[in-house]
Amino acid sequence: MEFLKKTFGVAKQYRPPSGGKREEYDISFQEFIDNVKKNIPFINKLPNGNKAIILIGLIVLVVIWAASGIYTVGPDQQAAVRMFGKFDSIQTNGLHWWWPGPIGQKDIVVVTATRQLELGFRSEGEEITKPVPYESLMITGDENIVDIQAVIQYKISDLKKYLFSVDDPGEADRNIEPGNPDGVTLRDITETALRQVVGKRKIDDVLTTQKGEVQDEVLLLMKKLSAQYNTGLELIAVRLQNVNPPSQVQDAFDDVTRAREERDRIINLADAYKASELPRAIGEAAKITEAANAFKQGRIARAEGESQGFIKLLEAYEKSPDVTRQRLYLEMVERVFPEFNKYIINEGNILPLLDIEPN
Amino acid sequence: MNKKTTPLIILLIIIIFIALQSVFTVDEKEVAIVTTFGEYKASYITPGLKTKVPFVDTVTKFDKRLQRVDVPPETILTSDKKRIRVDAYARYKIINPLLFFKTLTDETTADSRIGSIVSSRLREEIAQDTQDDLISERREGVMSYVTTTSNLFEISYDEVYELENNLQYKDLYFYVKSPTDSSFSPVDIDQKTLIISNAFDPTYEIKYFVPLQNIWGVEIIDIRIKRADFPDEVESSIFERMMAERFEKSSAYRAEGEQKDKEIRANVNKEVEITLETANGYAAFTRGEGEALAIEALAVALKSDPEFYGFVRSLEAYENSLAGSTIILDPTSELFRYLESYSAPPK
Repeated sequence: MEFLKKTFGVAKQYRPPSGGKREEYDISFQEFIDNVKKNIPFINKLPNGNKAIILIGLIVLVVIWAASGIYTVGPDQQAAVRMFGKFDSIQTNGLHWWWPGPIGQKDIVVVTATRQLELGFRSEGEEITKPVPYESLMITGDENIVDIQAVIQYKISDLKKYLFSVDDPGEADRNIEPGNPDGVTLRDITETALRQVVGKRKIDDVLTTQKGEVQDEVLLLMKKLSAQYNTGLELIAVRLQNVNPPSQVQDAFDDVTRAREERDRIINLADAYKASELPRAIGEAAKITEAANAFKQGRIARAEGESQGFIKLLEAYEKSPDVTRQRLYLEMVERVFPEFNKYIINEGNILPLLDIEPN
Repeated sequence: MNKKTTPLIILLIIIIFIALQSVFTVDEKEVAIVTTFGEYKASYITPGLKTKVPFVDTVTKFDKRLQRVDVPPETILTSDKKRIRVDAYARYKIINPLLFFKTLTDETTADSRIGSIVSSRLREEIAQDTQDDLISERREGVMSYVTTTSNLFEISYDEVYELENNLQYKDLYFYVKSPTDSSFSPVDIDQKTLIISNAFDPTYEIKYFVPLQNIWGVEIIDIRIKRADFPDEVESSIFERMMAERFEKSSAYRAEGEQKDKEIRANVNKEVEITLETANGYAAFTRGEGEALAIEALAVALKSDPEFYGFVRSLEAYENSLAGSTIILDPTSELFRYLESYSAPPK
């Protein structure tokens, strides 16, 4: 330790007013060089002083070179390290050392993130998308054309395969570097699978009920192709964002929707008519039948009353028929005659009194 | 620098240079072959640090990753005479770098030659398929068939014998066609033996194939039709047909609405009519019945003294109906019997 102190000097620590900690050594660089010459024996054996400086420089360079092999792998990353081009191992989260170039190579890649690929459109900032009809228009099984925009979610599941199995030109606008299979390769896989799956379905099914099935089937086919090509990608989901008829025929499709709604509206109106007219008729019918029932019962009740009243009257009448007849008659006359215009004619000509126009 | 060390440093540099010249690396993504003055010496399939003779050996490296060949879009006539625009790609891999180097030399040449093989196999196959085969689920089968046939390289009868020594028996593929067949079909093991011993039915046409990897050192892993679309000039007529189909649908919906509307309303009107008329009928019946029962009830009373009933009923009727009329009376009538005389009439 004494040797090191003599060579490198003694560090004096002090706290500057600006805060923090600083170390300062009690020897200068020239003294350090002198100390090295003095204390490291083999350097002194070298014939020339300048050589020592070259050698120290080399040692320093080697140390710096070796130190450049230190790297960290984030919790979301993995590193694939190679030595002389040969794959060695995958390193995960933490501080590591690996041979620096040209002996070793390393690729540190974010692997946990879910990435996505857009098909049929490209996002251009928040909420803004640009359609890519070349990708989105495709043939259906019944020879129609449908416009589909989809998003594929995936992540890297096997870094070794991802880095070394597939040659790919990459995609600059998505920051996919050449050699990574989620560039053109993944786009090829997506287009192939989607078109193949849509190609065996009818346009109406694709537009309406079978969206989920299309998604599942595309995902399955993509997984198969991805495994066949050794991409090292794990496909997570296929989501059909927009499934529409092509814009050229959109109006005709909308008109079908309108026609269907119109049909439903007309039927609803007719049902409403039914709902209001039938009870009204039933009510009307009840009114008619009840009136008839009332008439019937009234009629019977009255007839029975009359009949019984007459029997009572008859019983009384039979006790003194003549007198009763006369009394009844006269009572009638009393009641009726005040309402009459009366002419009593005593054996004369009645004709002048009759104000009857001759026919 | 002093005179003693300078040659030392130069020597060191030369040693380092030679050392660097005698090693090379083969990357995880590569395969390499080493040639000495153009003559093949060794292939390196596995990656790592390799040695060679400095200055004399030349290293040529090829990409061993899966390669993509784009087959440019072509409009092809299908067997049902429909024009279809096919955009396909192929994926291949270098299996044998030496054969690859000998026959194809570099990747650019490989791409174009493999591209043209795939393109012609696709054309042959599509010309035999219907449009439906290409856009439907049968596309999968078409694709794997084209992949299989693209991996076979046709050779002549003479080449079979040239190659026979270098090739495994199993690596020879024969396809035969009788005068009545329309296409070639593979042979079984017995037929194969017959062909090799030159004893096969001479009326048959025979085609001889070897795997592509035995010739070019590459294997075509997969061929896919990415898109099978209608050509641009057909597209507008497709749109017209789509619109016509939609018009048919919308008209059907509108007509259905009208039909249902009429049906429902007519049905309602019928129900209303039936309900009301049933009620009216019931009413008429009930009224009649009421009348009948009333008559019956009265008849009981009337039977006991019809004359008296007539009398009483007449009085009632007079009372109810004659008010306001003019009446001319004879003073001799019974009513006025006491108007002129108070004496009792003779009995």
